[in-house]
Amino acid sequence: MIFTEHRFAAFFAVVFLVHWALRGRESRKVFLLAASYGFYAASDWRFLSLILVSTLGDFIAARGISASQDVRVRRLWLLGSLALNLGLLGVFKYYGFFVDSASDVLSWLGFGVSLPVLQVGLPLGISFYSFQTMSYTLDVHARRMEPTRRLLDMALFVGFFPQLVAGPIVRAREFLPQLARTPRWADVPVKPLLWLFLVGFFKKACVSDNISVLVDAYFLDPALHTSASALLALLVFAFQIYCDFSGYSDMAIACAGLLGYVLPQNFDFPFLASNSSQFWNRWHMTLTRWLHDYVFSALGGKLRDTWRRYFNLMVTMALVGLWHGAAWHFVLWGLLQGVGTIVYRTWHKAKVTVRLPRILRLGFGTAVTFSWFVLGSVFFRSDNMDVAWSIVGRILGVIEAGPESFGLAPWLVMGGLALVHIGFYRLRPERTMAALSDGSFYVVLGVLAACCLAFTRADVRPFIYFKF
Amino acid sequence: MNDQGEKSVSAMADVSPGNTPLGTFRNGLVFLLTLVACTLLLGRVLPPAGDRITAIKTAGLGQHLSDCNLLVLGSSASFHGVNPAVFDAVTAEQGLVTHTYNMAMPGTCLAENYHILERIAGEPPADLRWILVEAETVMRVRNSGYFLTAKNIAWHDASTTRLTIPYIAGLELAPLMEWKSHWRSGVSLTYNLLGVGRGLPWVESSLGLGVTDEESARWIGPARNGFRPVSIEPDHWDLKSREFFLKNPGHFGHRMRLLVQERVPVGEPSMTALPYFRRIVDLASSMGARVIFYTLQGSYVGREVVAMAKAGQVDSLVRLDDKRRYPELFDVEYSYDGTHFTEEGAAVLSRYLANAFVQDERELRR
Repeated sequence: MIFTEHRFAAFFAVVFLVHWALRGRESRKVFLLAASYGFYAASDWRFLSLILVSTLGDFIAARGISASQDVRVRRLWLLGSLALNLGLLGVFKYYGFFVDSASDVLSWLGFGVSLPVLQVGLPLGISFYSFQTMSYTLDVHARRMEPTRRLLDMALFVGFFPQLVAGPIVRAREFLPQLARTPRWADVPVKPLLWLFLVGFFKKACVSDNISVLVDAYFLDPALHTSASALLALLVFAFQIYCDFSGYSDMAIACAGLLGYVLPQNFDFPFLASNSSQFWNRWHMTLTRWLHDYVFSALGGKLRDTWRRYFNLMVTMALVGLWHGAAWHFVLWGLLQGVGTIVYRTWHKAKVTVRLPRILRLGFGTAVTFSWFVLGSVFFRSDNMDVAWSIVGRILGVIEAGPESFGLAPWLVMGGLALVHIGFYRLRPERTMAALSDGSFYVVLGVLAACCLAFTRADVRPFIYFKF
Repeated sequence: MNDQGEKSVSAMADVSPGNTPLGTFRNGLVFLLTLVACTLLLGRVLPPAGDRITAIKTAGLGQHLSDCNLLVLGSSASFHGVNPAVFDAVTAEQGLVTHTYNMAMPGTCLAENYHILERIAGEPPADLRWILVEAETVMRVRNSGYFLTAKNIAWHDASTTRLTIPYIAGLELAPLMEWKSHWRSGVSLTYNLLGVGRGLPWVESSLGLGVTDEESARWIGPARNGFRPVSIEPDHWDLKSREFFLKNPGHFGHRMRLLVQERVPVGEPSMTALPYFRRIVDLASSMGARVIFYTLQGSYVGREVVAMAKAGQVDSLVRLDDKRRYPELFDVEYSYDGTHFTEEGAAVLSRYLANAFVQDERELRR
């Protein structure tokens, strides 16, 4: 079920009305949990049991960790939790990747071994909820929080439908305290949330879904198109994935907020970051935060030894890539992002002085950072390494490109979108909207919603991050 | 509340929301009324609704405005079944010169074909004299991507919506399917009302994805005059239908027996769709053209339609759903998937249709 389709509108209307009609905190939570499982089942009922296993397993593990003061016992419970979650990921998401890679290595070494293949689908949202539950047991183990004694709260933390299938990745210590309180409708900031939902809807339904047609047309047969069209397709894809994912996050945050719960921000205008390091603090912020806190820091974090620090960064970014997809081209994509960050940090550390006005320096940094992301996305979007390298070859002129061009118009459209994006950043229309009276706000909202619907496709396109 | 959570809406959080149920209801009402009013206004500004194939065929017709004198409107059965080259050859043999353009489109029925005709009326072929319209009153496609009138979702305007409401209310379906069909109809209505997707033609042309000559030629011509044999680049659903058809020949035979016995399958259309017959006739008259309705072996032709024809409420109704007169049209050898004809079947259909048309024209002149 996608946030932009009619089924979700009906689902959320019912959930919203019943949730606020119920008086008791516990009854609301039970209802929300049932609704969340129903939401998941509507998309993929087969793997609902995995969510239950992950929830129950980590609930028990956290209680086990907390009940003991013995370091070894605590560590065993933690390892059990990690084994469960990473095991689920390993089987359902990465098994094929590991088997294929192992087969390639063995073949290269001269051993023609046929390894068993597992034909199993990718459970929706597994990369998100498994990371969420692992953070819970990791925080309990690190004594950053006490485990919850209520299985209902744990289940709702894991299965809350706005963030269940594509984030934001929520921390237990941010969300569980909210479940201990009873939300009040009078306290819900309705106008900001409705505005946020509309912005997210616009990004996903009006921008991402429509421009994806051009990207799909290019990647259907890259050899047909000119080098300029290749660059255009990558540029459009960058906007597509940003609008798709940030739009989803906006709608998820808005839906949760309208039910009285706060989810963390996940995007903060990453395309306007002036360096790679800043970019990754603004793109998929909850994933970056997760990997920073539980991987980068565990590896030693920002050590004095520069090379060790850079090694830790590259490992983390490789995992970012691997998280997105079980294939080497995703890993390469992650590593390229890591290279960008290392180049920036080296440059910054060298304190190279460039005699330019600040705005130009920032502008140059933003352009370079954005371009690096766009060019690197060829490895993200392509189906495999061969396709990706062939596109790179055409862009560089090493491989002959085709004759078909999308023309000038799409470039102008992308320029317009960029201006709108910058306008949102600089002008902060959400503040203007918040200042309007109720009547004016809802009239403006109605007008904008009608305009959005006119540019919404009736054929529903799934969120890109549902694949992860 | 945590810092991250507050940051998400802190930029614009209300100082004191103080929401009340009555206030919320009032605000919701203001929003909905504005939404509907704005949608109706936008409907006058935005381009006519339609999908890719509509754009391709309309562009194709634009290349035949000076010579076309006969249009064919209908569903995919006609899109893949009426071959203008064969049709024109048969009529020419009998002394009637026709230049046919096949304007039929997949997933359309009478309501949608009326809207296609409305657009054509804006710039009709100069010498238009006849319009052959497939009397497919309701497209009953249960594919998840379609609703009851399959292209209903694309043809959004107030008049379509207004006529769809009584149709939905009078829907006669098996009880098991009823709730699902009513839900889909309701969604379709809502999409109509809210003008979903009306601006997409602008989007496609701005992205350089408008109809190209190459695409038009690949799909419908130029030599084929709008006709497309179903075997040319069949899509996923065409192939699935074909596969099912080949594996279940008995299913086709059963449907044909039902139709021959005039036992219409479950889902007989209500009288609501029938006013479109009159509307099409009146619109065609305003363009100086005569309408001949025709039925195919797969049409869900109700007794009401036949009664209307007998009562003279439609000018002409040619019934090709008669197994005794047109046996090949019920033959599995000429069928691609039980609904559409193969290229050989299309040639047979086109000959029959042309002959029936010539006969009808002669009777009129008498």
